[in-house]
Amino acid sequence: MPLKKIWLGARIAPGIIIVVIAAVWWLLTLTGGSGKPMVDSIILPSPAAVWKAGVGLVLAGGILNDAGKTLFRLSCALVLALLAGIPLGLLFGHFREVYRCVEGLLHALRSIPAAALFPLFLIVIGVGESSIIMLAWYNSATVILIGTVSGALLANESRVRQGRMLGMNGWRIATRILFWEALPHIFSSTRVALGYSLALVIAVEMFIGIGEVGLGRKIFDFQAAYRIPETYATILITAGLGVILNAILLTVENYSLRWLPRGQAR
Amino acid sequence: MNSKQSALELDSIAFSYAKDDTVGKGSLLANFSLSIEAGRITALMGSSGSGKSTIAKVAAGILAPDAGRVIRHPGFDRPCDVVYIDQTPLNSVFPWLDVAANIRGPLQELGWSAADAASRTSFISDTFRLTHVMSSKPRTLSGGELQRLALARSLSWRPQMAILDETLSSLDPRTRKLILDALRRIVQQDGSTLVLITHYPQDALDLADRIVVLGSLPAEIVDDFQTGASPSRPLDSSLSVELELRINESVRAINDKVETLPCL
Repeated sequence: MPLKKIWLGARIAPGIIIVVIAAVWWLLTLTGGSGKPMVDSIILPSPAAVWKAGVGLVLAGGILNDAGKTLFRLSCALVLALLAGIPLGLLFGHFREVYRCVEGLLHALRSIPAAALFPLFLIVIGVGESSIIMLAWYNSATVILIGTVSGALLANESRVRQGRMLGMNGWRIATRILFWEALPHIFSSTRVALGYSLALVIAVEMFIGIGEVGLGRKIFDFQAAYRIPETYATILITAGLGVILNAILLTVENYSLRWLPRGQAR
Repeated sequence: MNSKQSALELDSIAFSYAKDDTVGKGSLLANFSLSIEAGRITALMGSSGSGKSTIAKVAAGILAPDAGRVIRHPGFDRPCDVVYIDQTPLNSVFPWLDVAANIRGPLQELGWSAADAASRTSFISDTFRLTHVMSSKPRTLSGGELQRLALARSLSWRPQMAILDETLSSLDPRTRKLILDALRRIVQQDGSTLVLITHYPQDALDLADRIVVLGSLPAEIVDDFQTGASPSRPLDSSLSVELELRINESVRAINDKVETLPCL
């Protein structure tokens, strides 16, 4: 019974926290006897105003186009990062000597904040859709690559040895054994990469408006035009996009890892 | 009696886990020799830390000896001819595959025809009593079923020799009996050579026709005898009791003079 109560608490608590935050937000924007709210509405508009602005944006339809564009850039970056990171990671996981040679370089590359490289990407790739995607790709690919390698390096030695014993070649060991051994790490690094990539895509959209489309661009434009409720609404829509994508990834992850033995680290 | 042709020989093996130990105190094996005969069930007995697991791993090619030779005679010389199974069943099982795919997988890798693989899979799953869980993933199996699957997968491709390192040690009585019966059936059907590593005399007496008792470190053979048993003709209980006494006596004699293990 107590366990059940704790479980219920764990399910309800996040909801309660959101309600409390919304309530505090609402209180801060209440107009008191002086006719002025506690916090200036330029800094913090009321929840009602943000809600109204958000509904207006969605009904007008433009914001969905922006969200679609941001989602497209993000998805391209992530899919390309998975296509590059997983095979290369499995290769490094199998040929450990090769990995040891490049490990330092890889960690050095990952330590450079991706945003710092953006000017370089602009020079090399040019201003355009591809430079946004490539920047997010670069960041996600290093995260997924390192996640895959660590997963493959932690593979069960007995199973790999069995594969060799049965005459499996490097490619088969990588695809039939190491891939599965690394899968939990691939998923968790993909979720980390998703967070980084969304942040990067939004930030880059703010500063180079390609066709003026994208959630980042809209946040920036609304703020510049002092349309504060719309700014807040767009930020919340962006957060919602991140939350939904993360939830989708988690669902896929849980479904794909149903075989994972109990107690094995995720 | 089975043929006495040697399948695998350990010739003057030296092995130490402490490679930089110049004094040589950490040696588990020094000048250790043992011949495993084809088609027989040999039990390698000894107390914990007597080096029996190390011997098994050297024989299986998992550990490379510091000196000496591991000779695999013709018929036992391909990598897949000698399989090593430890007491952690998940080490021998691919948890992402269901039971059927786990048993069939090695056969596909080794290029068996679909028909051969299917009939072998059905024989093995029947022998190890796994037919009711063929489409289950390992994580849903009970401990006993998982242990049986580990053996089923490892013996699926009819390896010439299987080295079972404490595989029988931590089983409940029902699983133990199921596995003993299955191993007897496999040995009769495939003519496999088995090596059992154990510190329980009963495990050795239940299955082995030759029992090798190991002494103190570096490992030495203190007793080596035939039980006269075979898979089709297990030991009668009076002989079994007599042999158990003999084993216990050898082990006690060693324990009396054994030094504590150096910390590695």
